[in-house]
Amino acid sequence: MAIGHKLTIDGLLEGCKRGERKSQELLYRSLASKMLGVCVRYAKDRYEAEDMLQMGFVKVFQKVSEFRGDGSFEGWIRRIMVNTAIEIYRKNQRALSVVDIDEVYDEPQSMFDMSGLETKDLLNLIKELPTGYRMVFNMYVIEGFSHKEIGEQLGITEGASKSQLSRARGILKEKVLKMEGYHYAIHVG
Amino acid sequence: MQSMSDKELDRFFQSRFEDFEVEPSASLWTSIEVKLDTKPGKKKQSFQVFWMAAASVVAVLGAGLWILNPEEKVYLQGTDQLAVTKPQSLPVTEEPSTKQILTDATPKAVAVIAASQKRESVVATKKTDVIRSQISEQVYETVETLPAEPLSEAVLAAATNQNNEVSRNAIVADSEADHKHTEKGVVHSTVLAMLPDESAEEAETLQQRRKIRSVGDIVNFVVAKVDQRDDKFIEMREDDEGTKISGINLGLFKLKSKKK
Repeated sequence: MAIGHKLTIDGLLEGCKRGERKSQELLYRSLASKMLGVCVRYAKDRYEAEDMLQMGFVKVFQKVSEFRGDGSFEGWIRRIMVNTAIEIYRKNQRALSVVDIDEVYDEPQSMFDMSGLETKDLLNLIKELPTGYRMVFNMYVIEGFSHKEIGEQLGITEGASKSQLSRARGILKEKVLKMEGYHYAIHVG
Repeated sequence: MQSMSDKELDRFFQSRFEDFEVEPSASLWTSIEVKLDTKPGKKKQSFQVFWMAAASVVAVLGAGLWILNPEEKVYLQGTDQLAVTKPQSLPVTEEPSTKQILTDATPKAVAVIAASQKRESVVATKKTDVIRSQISEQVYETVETLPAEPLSEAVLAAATNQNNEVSRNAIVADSEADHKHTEKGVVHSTVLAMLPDESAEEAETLQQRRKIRSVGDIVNFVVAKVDQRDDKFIEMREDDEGTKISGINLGLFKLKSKKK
C-alpha cells in the first residue's frame, strides 16, 4: 500500500511538470493533510498553518520543473513546506520586535486535559513555545537540520540555536512530565 | 520515571509527529487554484507597466535637461557678442528672452510699464537717437533709485521688467536707426543689455529671501537651485484655491499659465 501511494505521487510528478490541473489537484488531495501536519507544528494557529500550506503548494506547482529527482518527490514537497514556514517566520521577525523569549515563564502552565497524551496535546505544547524555540525544536528534532543549517536559515548563531534547543527541550520535558507522569514511559518504550 | 533524556524526548516527539496529519478545510484547493491562475500573469504585467513608466520618465527628464541646459548657456553669451558685432540682428535674437521675462510680469508690472511708456511717449514708434537717450536716462534713473527706496517686491520686479522692456526698445531703435550712427548705438545698447541682467539678479535674490510658506514654495526654491533656466522644470503658484502648478518645462514640452 505504501509502495502504491509512492507510485501515485511520482506518477503525478510528470503531469504537474506539464502544468496539468488534474494532476496538481490529485497531488494536493493525496498530500495536503500530511503537509498540513507539518505546517501546524510551525504555525502559531490553524489559520496561519493553512496559509502556509497554500503558499507551499503554489510554490510546489510553480517550481516543480526544478525538481531533479534526487530524493523523493514527497520529501521535496515537505522541504518546500518547511522553507515556507521559515520564510513566514523571518517575515514576522522583521515585523515584530523580538520580545517573546521570556514570555513563556509568565504563562499559566497547567491548562491541559490530563486524560492521556494525544499528539494534539503535544502539538499544543510545541505551539506554546516561544516562536524562536519552536522553530529550532521543529527543525532540529523533527526535520533533522543541523545547528549550522538552522543558524543560517534563521539568521542566528550556531550557539544560539543550541541554547534555544536546550531551553525548548527543558520546557517540553517539564510539561510532558506534568501532563503524563510516569505514563510517558509506555510510549517511549 | 521522573526525568527524561534529550534523546528520549526527541524520539518521543519524532514518533508522534512522523505520520501526523491534519485535514485542511475544503475550500483551500480552490484558493490555490485561483492563485495558480492569476499570480504569474498579474505579476508580469505590473512589472512591465512599472518599468515602462520608469523608463519614459527617465527618458523625458534626461532629454529635457540635456537638450535645453547647454543651449541656454550658449544663448546668453551669444546675446552680448551679437550686440557688439552685429547690431542689425539684435531684435531677432533679443525678442525671445524679453518675451520670456515679460510673461513673468505681474499685472502691476505691466501697468507700471504701460505708465512709463505713456509718460515718455510711445517708445517703439520713434526711432531717433534723442528717444534712445531719453530711454537710457530713464533706465539709469530707475536703477539708481531702486535700492534707496523701500520698494515692495512687486515694484522691484516691475522695475526689472521695465528695464528689460526699455532696453529692448532701445535696441530696436538702435537697429532701425541710421547705420552711420551704429557705433555709438552699439555701445549704448551693450550697456543697456547689461543692465537688465544685474537687476534681474537682484530680483532673484530677493525672491529667494522670501519666506517659504507652502509646499509650492519649497518646490520652487529647490527647483530654482537646481534648474537655472528662466522656465523652470516645474513651477508652483499660490492662489485662492491653494497651491497649483503654474509652469512645466520638460524641454520639448512646455506649459506655463499666463496669470501670475
